[in-house]
Amino acid sequence: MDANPSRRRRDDDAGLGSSPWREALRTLRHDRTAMAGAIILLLLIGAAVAAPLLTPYHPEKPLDIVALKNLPPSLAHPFGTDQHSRDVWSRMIYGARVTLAVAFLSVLVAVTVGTAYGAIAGYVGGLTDALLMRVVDACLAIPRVLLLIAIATLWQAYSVTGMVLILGLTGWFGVSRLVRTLVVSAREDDFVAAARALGARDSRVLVHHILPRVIGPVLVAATFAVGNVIVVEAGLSYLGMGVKVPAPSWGSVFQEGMGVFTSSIWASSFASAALVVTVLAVNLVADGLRRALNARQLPAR
Amino acid sequence: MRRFLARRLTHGAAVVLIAASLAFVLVHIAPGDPFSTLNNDQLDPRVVEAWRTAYGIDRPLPQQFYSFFRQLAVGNLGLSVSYGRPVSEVLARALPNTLLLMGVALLVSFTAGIAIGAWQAMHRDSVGDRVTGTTSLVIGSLPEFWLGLVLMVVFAEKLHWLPAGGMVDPLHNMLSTGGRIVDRIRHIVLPALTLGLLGTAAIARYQRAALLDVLPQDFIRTARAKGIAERWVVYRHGLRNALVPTIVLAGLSLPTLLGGAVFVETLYAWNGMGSLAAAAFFSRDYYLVLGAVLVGSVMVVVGGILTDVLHAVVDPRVRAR
Repeated sequence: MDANPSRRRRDDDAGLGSSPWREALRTLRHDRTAMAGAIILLLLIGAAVAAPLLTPYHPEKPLDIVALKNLPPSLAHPFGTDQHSRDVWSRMIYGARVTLAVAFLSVLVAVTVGTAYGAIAGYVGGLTDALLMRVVDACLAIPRVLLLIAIATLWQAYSVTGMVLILGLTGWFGVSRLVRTLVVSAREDDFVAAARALGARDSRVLVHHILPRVIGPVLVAATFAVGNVIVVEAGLSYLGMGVKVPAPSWGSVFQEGMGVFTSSIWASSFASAALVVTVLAVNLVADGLRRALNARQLPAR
Repeated sequence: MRRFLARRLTHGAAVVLIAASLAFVLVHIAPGDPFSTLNNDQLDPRVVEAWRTAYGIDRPLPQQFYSFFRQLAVGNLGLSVSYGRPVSEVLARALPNTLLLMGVALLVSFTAGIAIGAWQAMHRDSVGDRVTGTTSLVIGSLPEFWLGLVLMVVFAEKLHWLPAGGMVDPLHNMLSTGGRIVDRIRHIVLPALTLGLLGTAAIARYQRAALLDVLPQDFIRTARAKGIAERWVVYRHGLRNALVPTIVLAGLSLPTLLGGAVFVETLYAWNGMGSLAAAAFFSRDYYLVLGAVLVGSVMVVVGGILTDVLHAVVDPRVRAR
């Protein structure tokens, strides 16, 4: 950035360069690993959206159970076929829809609930804060996978919506603790005192003055959570507790492929490769976001 | 130190109590009760009704809440439907196996993670540092069950070096004492390695960052100025201080480790709490799953307290807080 002072000055003149978000975005654009992750992620989302255009076969219909079962990759079937003679490529592309939708939506639920909860605890303070945070401590003490198994046992089969809710409602504890810490420190700041002195109501102070400070770190945490939730969802499918829908998710492709792992490794290998690449891409973006958003807090700005 | 410990124990007890209440709420907002999941058409509905009365499920909720905690206080976690024995008994058999697996995995990940992280910090930005950093990033992104499966296929199916699963060989009881020990070690290597590798990746990244935080500080410069050998500076002065955040990480990573154990135990047929809970899902063994959740959270809380005590021992500043 410093190598190009003229452009920087022009941005400042236009009144745009001073926005911390713009600054972060600019840092992010120059971060090659983060950009690589973002491109992979966009390609995956694009493939999921355009699934019918990219898949020559139906993801759920067996093609020929006698002749076309457990085939290795070929031109006709780039990822081979599974034990029910279904095209693994088509299943994977359609699986991306379920996997990515569940991951992003459940994190959205978690972040919304966690931010509201943490903001209330941090802003109200006192006994309310202590009580609310003890509940979060208790929730964090329960290992998430065990909690998910318990919920799966008590409620049994669930849809994509159910999965989003279950993963979302067991994922907000960490976010709420993070938000509470940020709100408590922002509450003591001078600009909040100034806003109050000008007669701003609590809701206005929270939404207009405190939340903008919270969004950055929460965004970073949410991005990491997306990667984590993809693995958790695949793990639940692996244990046989995943989404019960006709359409496949990567976890269920993996789990079905595992049954024939010693004779045909293709289905589960491609599914796990997709999982790892996606999680890696998400983590790279998250890492880049963290660097970019931290940078704006440096005094150099 | 005593006041610190007392405060920490009170907090831990409160957390466990709230977690138990949450478990109670979870059961009662779920559809059905333990007897509606029996799926037995031969059973007379009146018998089921009698069971409900006998187990007190038809009583008002506050009363049930009270008796739930009274039973919990004496270690009664209810009856396991699939084993036909008290849940506490079933869990007591599985718990040592899980603790053993987690203990070995923690040991592996700490020894390897600290060594790798320290080496990376000393050779900061070298080719070796970057390659190791990328590798640990990739390994850290791997799902436990996949990593476990790959290790199993390579070392058990293809190379036949190690057994593919189970706690002991089917002929374990016919072996000599030495043979039994070897047999047990051979069975724990792959599951512990699976769980430990993921931890190693996380700890190495953390340890590298922690050491890089410490190395530019003044007391390190003082040590160098005194002419102490660089190796000694790093190990004796740097690493010691950089260990503090790593100890805290161990406590924080316990829930994740326990979650990972669920997958590893299921994959390697390891008779621990995790595989027990996963199997209980299929038999709809209500109270066994809840018992596992409660024991799991107690483990996390106790682990957290131990971490804090250890932290306070290592770093006197913590005690003052």
